[in-house]
Amino acid sequence: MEHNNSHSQGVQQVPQMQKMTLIRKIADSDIFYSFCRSPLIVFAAVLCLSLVLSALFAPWLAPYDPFDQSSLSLWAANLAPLSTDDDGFFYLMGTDNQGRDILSAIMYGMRTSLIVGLAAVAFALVLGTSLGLVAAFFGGWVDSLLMRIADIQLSFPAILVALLIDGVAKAVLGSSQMESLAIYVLILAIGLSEWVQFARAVRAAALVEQRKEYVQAARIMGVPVPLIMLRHILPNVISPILVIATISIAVAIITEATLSFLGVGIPQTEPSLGTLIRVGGNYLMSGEWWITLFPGLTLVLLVLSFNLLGDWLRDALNPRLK
Amino acid sequence: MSLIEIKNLSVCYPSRRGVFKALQNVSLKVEAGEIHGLVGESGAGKSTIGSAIMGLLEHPGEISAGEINFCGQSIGALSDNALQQLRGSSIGMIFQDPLTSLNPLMSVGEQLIETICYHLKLSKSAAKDRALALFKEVEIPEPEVRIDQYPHQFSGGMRQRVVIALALCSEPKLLIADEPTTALDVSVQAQILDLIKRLVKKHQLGVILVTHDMGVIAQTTDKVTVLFRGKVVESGATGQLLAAPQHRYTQSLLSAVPRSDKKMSRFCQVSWIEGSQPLDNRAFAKDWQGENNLNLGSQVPMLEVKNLSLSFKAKASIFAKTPAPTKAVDDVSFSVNYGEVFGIVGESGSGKSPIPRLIPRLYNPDSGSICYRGESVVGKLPKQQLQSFRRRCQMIFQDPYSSINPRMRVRDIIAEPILLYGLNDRKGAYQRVDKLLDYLGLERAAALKYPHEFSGGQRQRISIARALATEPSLLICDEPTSALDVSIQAQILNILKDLQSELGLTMIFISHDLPVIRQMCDKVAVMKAGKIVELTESETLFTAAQHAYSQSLLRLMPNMHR
Repeated sequence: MEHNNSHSQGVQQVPQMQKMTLIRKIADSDIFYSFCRSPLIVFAAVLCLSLVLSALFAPWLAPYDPFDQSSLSLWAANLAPLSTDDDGFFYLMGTDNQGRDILSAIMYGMRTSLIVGLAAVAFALVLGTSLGLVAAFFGGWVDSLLMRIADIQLSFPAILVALLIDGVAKAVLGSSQMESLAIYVLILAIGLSEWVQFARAVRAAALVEQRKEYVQAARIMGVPVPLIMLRHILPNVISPILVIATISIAVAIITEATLSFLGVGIPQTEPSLGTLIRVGGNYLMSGEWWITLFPGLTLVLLVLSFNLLGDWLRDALNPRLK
Repeated sequence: MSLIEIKNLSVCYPSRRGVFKALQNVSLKVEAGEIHGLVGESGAGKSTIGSAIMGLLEHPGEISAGEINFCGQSIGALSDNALQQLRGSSIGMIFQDPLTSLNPLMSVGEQLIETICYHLKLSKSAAKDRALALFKEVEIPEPEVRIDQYPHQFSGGMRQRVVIALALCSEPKLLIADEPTTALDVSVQAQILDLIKRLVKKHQLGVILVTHDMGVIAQTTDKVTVLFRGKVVESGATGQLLAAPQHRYTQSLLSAVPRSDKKMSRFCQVSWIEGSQPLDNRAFAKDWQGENNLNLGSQVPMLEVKNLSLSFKAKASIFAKTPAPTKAVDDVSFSVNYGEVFGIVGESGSGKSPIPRLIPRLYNPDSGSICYRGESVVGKLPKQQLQSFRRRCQMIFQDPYSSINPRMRVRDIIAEPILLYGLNDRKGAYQRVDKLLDYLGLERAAALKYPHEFSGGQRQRISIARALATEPSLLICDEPTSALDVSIQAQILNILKDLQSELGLTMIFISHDLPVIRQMCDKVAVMKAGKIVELTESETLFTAAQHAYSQSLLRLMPNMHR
């Protein structure tokens, strides 16, 4: 404590502007500094950003439209990477069994994977954070109940929970409706299998914050409980949430891919990284390795970049490691 | 030849925003058999000297110039191995917090024996004999039994004795004691300091005693060095330096220490350490909407507490017998009159801390009554009444670092209670915030900043501004200055005094520091083990204390004005 203090007092302060622009504030912040100091993290961020952007702008960037049935031709099926078909079209990563360009399919497939990943994590984050706050603030039997549910859920593998929810949804909705709602069911299933992480971390952090005197001060003032949680405690537990969210995105993308690979996630007609890998898996034995390898590699890079960013964020936000 | 001689030592911490010089050209000498005090406020670099001697500077700190000679040998020239040898065997260290400097998973005996075996190369049984002898030396009763116990089974003072035994076990020549008694109660502090003094005489040790407490310096040390922002300000024999300080910093530092021998109307401002404007904005006092309590000749006291009890119960256990509940507050009664400053003093565990949380209903008492202006405020209250009581009763906390929300702007922190009670609209509330900032000597620009941009003293002002925002009549101050440096403490206490006289606030002032109590309070309750042992006028307590416990507290408090 003392060291920190003396630091900020004694160092020749950069002249403090009354109003710094947002960009200058960010460029001046410690977190940006630590970001620039690690080449690995800059690399991970660039990789992550380029993957996300290529997915986002797939309709404009992709060389072919994998959904356009008319352009598909079975004559161009199972072409190896770097080959050209009879009509003179070039396929960087080859084509699959229906003659779709793998590169385009990956770009479109990442869209589904990212949407599912982000939405599932957002859902898990909101659910987990609110339940964690409630558990921490009310304590007693509310806390015990929520945390025991969390414990029970943690004793199942997350993928099993997601499978279970997916299965129940299929039984309730029927297979025809399921086709169109598959993506929402998947988001719900993955979200419900991941909220526990958030709830536990938020509860632990909120319990610490709650003992601090500023929360007591708010209580003495008579600030209503929901307002104390939202205005005082929540902003102070945001950093662990951010870290878990980044890493959870990676986990959610993997879960989606696994479910799709198992054939219970996204229907085969829509490309996602998981379905692409699954389709390719069937042809692996007959020598068409590219159908499964490239989507698999993309998945690895995507997950790796999110994991690296998450790890870095955890260290950068932890004051003890500075 | 001196035991240790430091010549022109400079330590710096290079960082992203420039090089921070923690120590600049510090020189000092310690002879065997002498206690050398290092005193200064936070950021003065007093602990850095100890770390530099031990080679324990935290990354990225480094010694940039100067040398340290220990028994005529330069420490800088030693290899890492030799340095570690020296660190363990010839220099011992005592830390502030005795709880964290012992390994909780090893019995104290094992820790001692391990260290003795390593440094003195003795056999296990010989080491045990030596450990027992050391325990006797640091006056731990029943050493044969205590040696097999674990750190958590010792009280704070006993634990510090164990730490001292540990520091002594390799027969060091120099002891570095970094705030060894800051975490301890007054009565225990006196014993530990006595022990250190005796050990120094017996073994002809040299001691570097780092502290912020002028009382400790006055009672323990032979020589003293005053540090300010990494530089030596003044150095000399303790008696002489305290009686006739030469440097202006030392003079103002000494004048800011609260006196226990007589009550003064104000503290001397140490204004050149941290600039502040005095509170002379009378317009604020005129503008004050709260009731002025001074001119109420009411017969009913403002706050009346009767037979208040609170106990902390342990949860029922399935297997073991449920332990009896600990009585934190036991049958406490007192009353506070309008415009009065009521002090509560006691050591840790005396029950003085739950009381400020019981009054504004943060805890519910087990039994007893609290009446505010003759109306009971315990039990189930109509929402209206509870809100209006809370508005009139505000609190200032001990730790300025945790008592304000780090993620809110100062403006929103202070405006929150105003908006909550609907005293004003947002615009009016912000105007009020500006006035409060003016009044407390903070700049208006502070409103848009976040708490981390302020020092401890400034944060405490923000905390006071927040408490004043609802125009309360009763202000509860829970150790408002224990986390602050003496010069800042003087400023904050002056502010509180001014508030009391200008706004006619009634205050409950909780502290463990007797001189502060004497300066601030009209009436004092001395607490021990949850009970009030003596309740009297403050002057009477300090001149003619009745209860034996109060007398011993007064006798033991470290005092530089004696």
